[in-house]
Amino acid sequence: MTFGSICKNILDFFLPSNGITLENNTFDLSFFSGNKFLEVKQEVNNHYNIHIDLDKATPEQIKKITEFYPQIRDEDALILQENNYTDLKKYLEELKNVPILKYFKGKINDQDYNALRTSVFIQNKFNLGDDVSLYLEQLYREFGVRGRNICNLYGEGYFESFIQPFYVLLEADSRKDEFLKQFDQFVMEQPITYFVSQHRTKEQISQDLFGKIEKNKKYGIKKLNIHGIGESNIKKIKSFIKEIETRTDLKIPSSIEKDGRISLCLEII
Amino acid sequence: MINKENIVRFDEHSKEKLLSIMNKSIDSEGFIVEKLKTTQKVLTKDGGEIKFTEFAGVRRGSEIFIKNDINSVLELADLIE
Repeated sequence: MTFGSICKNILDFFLPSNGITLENNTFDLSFFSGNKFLEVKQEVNNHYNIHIDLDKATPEQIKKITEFYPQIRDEDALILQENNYTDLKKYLEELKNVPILKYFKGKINDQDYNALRTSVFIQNKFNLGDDVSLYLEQLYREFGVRGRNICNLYGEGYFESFIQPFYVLLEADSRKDEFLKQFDQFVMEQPITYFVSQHRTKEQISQDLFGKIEKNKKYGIKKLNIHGIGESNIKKIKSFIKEIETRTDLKIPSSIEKDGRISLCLEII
Repeated sequence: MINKENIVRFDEHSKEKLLSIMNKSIDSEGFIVEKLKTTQKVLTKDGGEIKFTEFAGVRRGSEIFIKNDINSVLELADLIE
């Protein structure tokens, strides 16, 4: 039995004179609220979607669907809530093959890859102007600070502009085995990046940044890129710029503010 | 693997009745349990229990429950052929 034939059997049972043949047609099934207990919608030429509203089902109809359920389950069907289905469909159709995901598959560990995959999804949603706060919360809950850092680094293009070229360089130098350690440091210690968090005050941010500047001086790192998204984070960065105005050991060779985000390059002399 | 054509979708409204069709119920703490053995909680891929409010779906393999969480949903992409 195929999934399509199970759907067709359900249709035939509840709507015997439907006039739709199994041959040359495809079927799927959904449990959505609707006007009737059962509706058949022809989505494209030979594809039919069978909508069932369980709230409108009689106890006998529920009993019958319960009898059909093991067949659906055993046919390797995936049963998925519509909003999750929409997210999965989007990922499969538009994002699964983005070059950066294909490139890093197998080069970073599975956990980091999964965090990167979620980051690609979140960034795409963000670029479309969708609210991503819930997704960010879920990313953090699953992958912690490391996941959040991966998301920030991906969001600001570091995977394409820095991490991938770095891997290529190590590979060319036959030093590929050093990559994971360096990647780990780049993600967790973030030597050249700082992402302003909405949860930190401007005083805490200044403290973080001055600490990072001193640390970078100690290790001879002459650069720090500061990124912020949203009005309040931009204000915090601008307040920090004022604070360092008189410092002769710090320069800002470039600062870009566009589309509600700011990126500042700080040179440490 | 999951055939991408074999996806049954449902809306928020249908969740509770659908679980009942799967012979599941919800215990006093909100966890999804077997209807006929209410002390037995259903499990996610990672072996975790799952609350009704977290329920996003099921896939085969002794009925693996899926959490309403973007990471769990994107993991399914590896199983879709």
